[in-house]
Amino acid sequence: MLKARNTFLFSILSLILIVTLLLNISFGQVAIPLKDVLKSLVGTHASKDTWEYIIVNFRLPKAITAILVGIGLSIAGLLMQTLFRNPLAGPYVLGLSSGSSLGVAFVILGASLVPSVLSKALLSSYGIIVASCLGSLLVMLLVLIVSQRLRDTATILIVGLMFSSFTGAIVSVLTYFSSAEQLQKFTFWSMGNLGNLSWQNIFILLVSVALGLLLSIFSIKSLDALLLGENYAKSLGINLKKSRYIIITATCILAGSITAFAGPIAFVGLAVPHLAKLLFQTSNHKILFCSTLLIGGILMLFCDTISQLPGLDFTLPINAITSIIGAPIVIWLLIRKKNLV
Amino acid sequence: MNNNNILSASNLSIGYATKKEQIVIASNLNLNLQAGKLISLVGANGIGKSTLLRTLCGIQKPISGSVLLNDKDIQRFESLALAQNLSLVLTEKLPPSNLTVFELIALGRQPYTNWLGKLSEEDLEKVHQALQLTQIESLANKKHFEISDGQLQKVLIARALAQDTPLIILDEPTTHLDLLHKVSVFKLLKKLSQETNKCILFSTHDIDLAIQLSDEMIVMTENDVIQDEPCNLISKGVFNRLFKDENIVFENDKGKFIIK
Repeated sequence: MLKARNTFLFSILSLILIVTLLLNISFGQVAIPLKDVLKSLVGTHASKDTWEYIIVNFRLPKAITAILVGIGLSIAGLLMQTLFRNPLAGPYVLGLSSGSSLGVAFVILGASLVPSVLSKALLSSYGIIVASCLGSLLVMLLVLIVSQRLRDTATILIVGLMFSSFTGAIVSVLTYFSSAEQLQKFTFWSMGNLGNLSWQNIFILLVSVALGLLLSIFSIKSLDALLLGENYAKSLGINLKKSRYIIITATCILAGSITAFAGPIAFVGLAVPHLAKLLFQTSNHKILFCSTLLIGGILMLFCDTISQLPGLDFTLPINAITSIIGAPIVIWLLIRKKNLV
Repeated sequence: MNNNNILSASNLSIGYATKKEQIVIASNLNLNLQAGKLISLVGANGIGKSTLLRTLCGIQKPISGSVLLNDKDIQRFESLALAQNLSLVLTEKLPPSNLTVFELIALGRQPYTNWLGKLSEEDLEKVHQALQLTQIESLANKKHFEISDGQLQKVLIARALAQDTPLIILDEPTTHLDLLHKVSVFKLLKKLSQETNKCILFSTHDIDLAIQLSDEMIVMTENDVIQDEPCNLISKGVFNRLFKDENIVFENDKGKFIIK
């Protein structure tokens, strides 16, 4: 019975994902009929060449980025919620995104301080990714060291907030010394953007997200054991140190690469795992992994669709939309369930 | 040497080694835990019961001597092999989750499952056996936070059973339970040690219950650690040395403590 319910939910979610994907592609400053969207997606020509051009070069890359970002951040959130045994953990709350911001700020704002050959390398998409990953890794390690000493999970969140403030302050200092042009580049990055990725960038993002997801899949068993707490997990033969490293590495790759390309995106990583847990009423990470994947993709596509609603001749910053939608979801979950799991 | 020995310790010293000094809590311990026996560990608060249990579980290194699990030094076990020989029931609270009773018990099969933790026919069989032995089949589909403390304790014991190890160690399994549930957990442990021929070691503060139900007891006092059958311990007058307070006296005839 339970299995039948899960199968049903998974089919519904897959269906919703496809529908949101099509809607996302057909909406925008130029409305394209669904029929033509389908036509250009399957390879036959759309009624207008411009439509096909828009879809292949703008809408489709953006939709794929949205899905990758939604999936990656949500899975990162799921991993952290189990690892820290804290329902409020997520890449944004624990300061991972701020860590990435710091890394990117150093690269974008500090590039002028180093020789031009080096600055060119730094400002390439690879340089930004590496800086962003290193930034989130740094914060994650700090949070982990602190969490070893503090058993109280609420305190870990406060520490995460402190790291956010701290990195925020350093970014402010950096911006104070940078030129208007650099500042603009950084500000645009920090508002979040799904649309600026070339197919080549998308490929890099795809590989990073796939790698993070692969590591997560290998962590499913130890994540399940961690549901009993670290001591029980150890007594079940789980190599805690190794599992923890794998989980952290996966989270950093996911949060780091996504933040590098799309900017710091809030609340998706926090809210989606809870929606998955609420919908499937389980803690089984095999089921949670798949459902978080689907819901993450759907939610991000939905947010992106809203940010470019027809009738608006501009695109709202995606980071604002995810917060506007994500924050109420989290509050609603808290009130509805009394206790989050 | 007895072949039935599951866990044994000879000339064991336990305690902590800090950077500057060694703090020895107890030394010259000789223990033999055999299959099919229910063994309780008693002693006053702060006497070092937890340290002894941690050392016997291999979590903490002994200061000297060694703990042998199935004739092999417990410190030299691979974590997976150890998990197939020793299962634990701890006092710590479970983190919040949606785990059902069945899923929780099934996690006991992790040392045997594949990299994804998929349950085989045999695994499911063992989980059902554990549910039957602890008589909690009716709880199987409940969430673990929906059941009472007494029921949860049985679920955790079932989880240890599903892990299918010759030795189960429980840390104070009866704290926070009322008398009825204390007795029911003790009786369950007794039944399990007899029916499954496992060696079960548990620490407790319910000394009078432990005296009635354990096959053997390990009594920790200031000066020494003694392992023997409860009736021998009573005739030796060991329990009178358990607490330093003169107002607490052990009545040998009644087999329990009296407050003067």
